[in-house]
Amino acid sequence: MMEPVQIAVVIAAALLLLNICALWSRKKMSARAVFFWFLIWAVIIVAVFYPAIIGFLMMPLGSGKVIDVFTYFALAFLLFICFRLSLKANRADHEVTRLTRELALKK
Amino acid sequence: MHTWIVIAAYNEEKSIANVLKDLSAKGWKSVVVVDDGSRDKTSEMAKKHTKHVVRHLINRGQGAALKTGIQYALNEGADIIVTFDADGQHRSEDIPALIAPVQKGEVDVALGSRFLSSGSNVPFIRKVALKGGVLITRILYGLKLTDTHNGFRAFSRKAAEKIDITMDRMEHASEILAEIKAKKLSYKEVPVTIRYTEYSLQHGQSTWNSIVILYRTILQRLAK
Repeated sequence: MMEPVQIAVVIAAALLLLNICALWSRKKMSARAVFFWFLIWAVIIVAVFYPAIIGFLMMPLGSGKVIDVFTYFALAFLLFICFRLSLKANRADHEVTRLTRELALKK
Repeated sequence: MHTWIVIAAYNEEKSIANVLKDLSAKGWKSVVVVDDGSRDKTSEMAKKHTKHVVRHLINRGQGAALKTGIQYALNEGADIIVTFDADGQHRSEDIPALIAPVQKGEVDVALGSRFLSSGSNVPFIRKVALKGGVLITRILYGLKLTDTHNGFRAFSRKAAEKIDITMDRMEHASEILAEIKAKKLSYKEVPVTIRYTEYSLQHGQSTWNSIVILYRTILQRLAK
């Protein structure tokens, strides 16, 4: 019998991965990004269904509580996402400027 | 030598006509105005006084606008490029002295300094912020200057081609100095007078913005 948190995670993962597949089929997401998100959700699902595995793997980190380990990884993951987004935003900003300049000089 | 004046303008419909009339009266005919996505009639006003008006469809910041203007001037065959403010802070009378060292081939870049001239009535708070910029520039780039955020500059063609402005907003001022250092360009400060009027103070950088620019400059330097 599945616990409510497991059902919630499975539904969330299914919805998100469906969305990702749709983006991929419309070529709005790269295969690498699809693989990355599938991997992330696979880890989350495994962690939710078999928390003991994660607890065992994380013992060398010195934390006995699975929830602590989750918190560390969630924070690290969020920081990584923030970093990637800021890089992308910066790149997009420069592209917009370049385009604006090209248009201005063409006229 | 063909000198081009580059003016980046954003919502300057009230001042741009007078600035262009003054430049024209002093014989500066090669003037390009980059309207940086203004929401007022800056372009229309500028077009009455110069045929060289380019417009950014959206606002991208002074650094981006100057780069567009410099590119335009280089395409037109400029030998010397002067960057000039649109709000009437800069005096056209200072241009000959500013470009003289570049014209003579003494230096690649001439940087205007309001602190080498006694005519600039720099407000106290602004002076403190600007001197903070001078100190930071000395620490970060090792450049000994008296005024680091003065938009009144003259570049030789070689310098204009070498300096790559990538910072779209006000941080470009520090970036230009970093580029001068990195590309080993020779430079000299020239006294210029900055006119602080109620209008220019409203349109120019606030002291808070100066602090933000300083912060971003440090970040930019650390990121490199």
